Amino acid sequence: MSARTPAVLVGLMLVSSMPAATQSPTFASKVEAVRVDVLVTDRGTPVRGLQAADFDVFDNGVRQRVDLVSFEQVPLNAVLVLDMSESVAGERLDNLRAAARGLLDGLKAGDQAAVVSFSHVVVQGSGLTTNLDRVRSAFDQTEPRGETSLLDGIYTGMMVGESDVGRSLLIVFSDGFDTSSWLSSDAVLDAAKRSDIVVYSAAVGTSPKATLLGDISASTGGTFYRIESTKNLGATFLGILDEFRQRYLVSYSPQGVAKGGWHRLDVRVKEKSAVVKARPGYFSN
Amino acid sequence: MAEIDRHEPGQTDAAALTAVSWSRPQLEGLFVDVHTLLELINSGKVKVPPGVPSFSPEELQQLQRIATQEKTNGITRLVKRGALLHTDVALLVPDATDPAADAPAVPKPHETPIAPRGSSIRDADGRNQGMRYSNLHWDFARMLLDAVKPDEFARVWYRATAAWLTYRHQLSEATPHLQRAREIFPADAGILFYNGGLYEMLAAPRIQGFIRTTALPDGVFIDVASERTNLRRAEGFFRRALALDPDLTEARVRLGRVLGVQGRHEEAIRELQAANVAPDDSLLRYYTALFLGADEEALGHADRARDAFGRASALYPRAQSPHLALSQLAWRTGDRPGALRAIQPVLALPADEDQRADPWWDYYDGAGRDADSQLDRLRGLQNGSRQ
Repeated sequence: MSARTPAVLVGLMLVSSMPAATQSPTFASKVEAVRVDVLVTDRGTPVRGLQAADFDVFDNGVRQRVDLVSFEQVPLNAVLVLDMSESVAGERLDNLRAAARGLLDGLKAGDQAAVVSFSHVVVQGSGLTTNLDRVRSAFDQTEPRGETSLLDGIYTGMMVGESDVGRSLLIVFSDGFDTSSWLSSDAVLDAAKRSDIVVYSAAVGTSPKATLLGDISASTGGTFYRIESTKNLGATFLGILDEFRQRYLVSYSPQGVAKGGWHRLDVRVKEKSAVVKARPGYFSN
Repeated sequence: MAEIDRHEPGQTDAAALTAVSWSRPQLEGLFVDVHTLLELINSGKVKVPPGVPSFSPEELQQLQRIATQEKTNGITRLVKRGALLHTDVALLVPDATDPAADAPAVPKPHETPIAPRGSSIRDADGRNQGMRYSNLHWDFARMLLDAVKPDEFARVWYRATAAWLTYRHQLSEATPHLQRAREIFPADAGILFYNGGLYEMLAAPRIQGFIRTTALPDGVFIDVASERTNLRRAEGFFRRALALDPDLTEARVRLGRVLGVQGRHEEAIRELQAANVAPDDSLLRYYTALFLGADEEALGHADRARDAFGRASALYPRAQSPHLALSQLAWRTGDRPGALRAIQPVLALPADEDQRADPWWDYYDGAGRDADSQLDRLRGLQNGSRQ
């Protein structure tokens, strides 16, 4: 049915002429407890060994009692959301596949992975599984074609992550701006703010996607990487995985704040020189 | 003239292939000749515009001989058959006048006062594929039709070619084309509808994103207005089309959509609900339901939005967009199980695009999806006139 053609001509004006089974039950409930992934660094180095008492968490300005802090021992769900539109073909695809393989190699026993690819078509190559060969096979089979439904892909990836109670990391790669999503940027940003998932993203070059991916990553406490080329994408992915493993999972049951709406979060640690990175808030329904 | 006579409309025949082989400079020269010939036929005088080298006495004699002959045959026949030849070359070999060797890094502005030299830039999945000159065959065809009084053939020609240009994303060609069509047929609902479709496409993320991200040489910019401006233009054209033909259902659906994108959701809902879509037109019913869902959601009417997205999903169960919309709606309203349930059909869909029909992907170019039937009608008109 498609009349889609690979090219569009636009006029020019010439100016010159013109889950893992090991989860704590605390995290199984998405209603009562709020959990926040927190990265604490001191001069760029992750700070280890912090306990619940070391954290100050303010929910809409109200100090909360931190119930639990866990570090490293929680298996993670790594959801790869990969651009497989036409523009990725060639060297970029090779680099992307190598980077994704490297990331899978960096996962530990008990970790799960999934892959969602997108052109204009969103495809779950593999759901969350500890069988990483299945995930490898999924992205090896995908060939670049078509347009770019970046937003639809990110949202689908978030839902894949949310389908399991584990601690989820979403890694998004795109080399193009959105051209064909149904979902709007506002809708996906809103969905990210309602999710516990931490979104890390990487994009080649400069474009509107940079702002969008930056906003989505920031809203989840993740990081956006602008990269010049995909040659070092493997190092970027491994860096993301390493950083994510250094994060604390802080949990609390909100007290003294009304339910509903946007809750501004402020996470601090007692160590003054430390830099804390966490999502700026969450939506409560 | 020989190629015009030899060409069978709609066919890639020897005449069309000969026309394809003409270089850009040859075509520009021919453009001046034909322009002069048409002047001769219509007024009997040769008006050489400034900047154009004068014809030699021999050339003038030859032109006058042809003019006399064509006057006898009837200029309308020459014009229509010529227009069809150039149209077919443009349709069958869209890049005919764009040999890579001729395409400069920065296209030069007009160098002759007659032959247009518009420029365009090609985008594929957001990447700049280089600049090129516009396809002079379109200008040729328009010039030929301008030489006679506009009639039903010209009306159908403009409709058919506008549909094709829209459907094939030839936006730089479609813009002047539809502008000329409006000048000639200002009260043609179909032409106004294609204009609306063109500006809706120019407002699309694909085009607007490309403009924002594409680096161009100094002094060159992409001649496309902002999303907001193009949406307003699209709205205006759809409204004018509907004023002339209130039964133009797709214009109403598209008007509803452009209103919704502009945040005017109540107005959008009124238009979409007023669209009298035929029960068997599943494509338009799908679009109507999808857009209604978005507007109802924007107004906080979650139940109505869910119903609308559900209707769209029922029409095209393998379309990802309604499932995504339903999931996102549930997620936004705090219905986590509902959101996860609604996304399941997307996760279960096959990877093969051929098994994944989502009309949303074709929405923007879809305004011109009747191009083939319009072209058949056009060729039928010409064949009929030959009998």
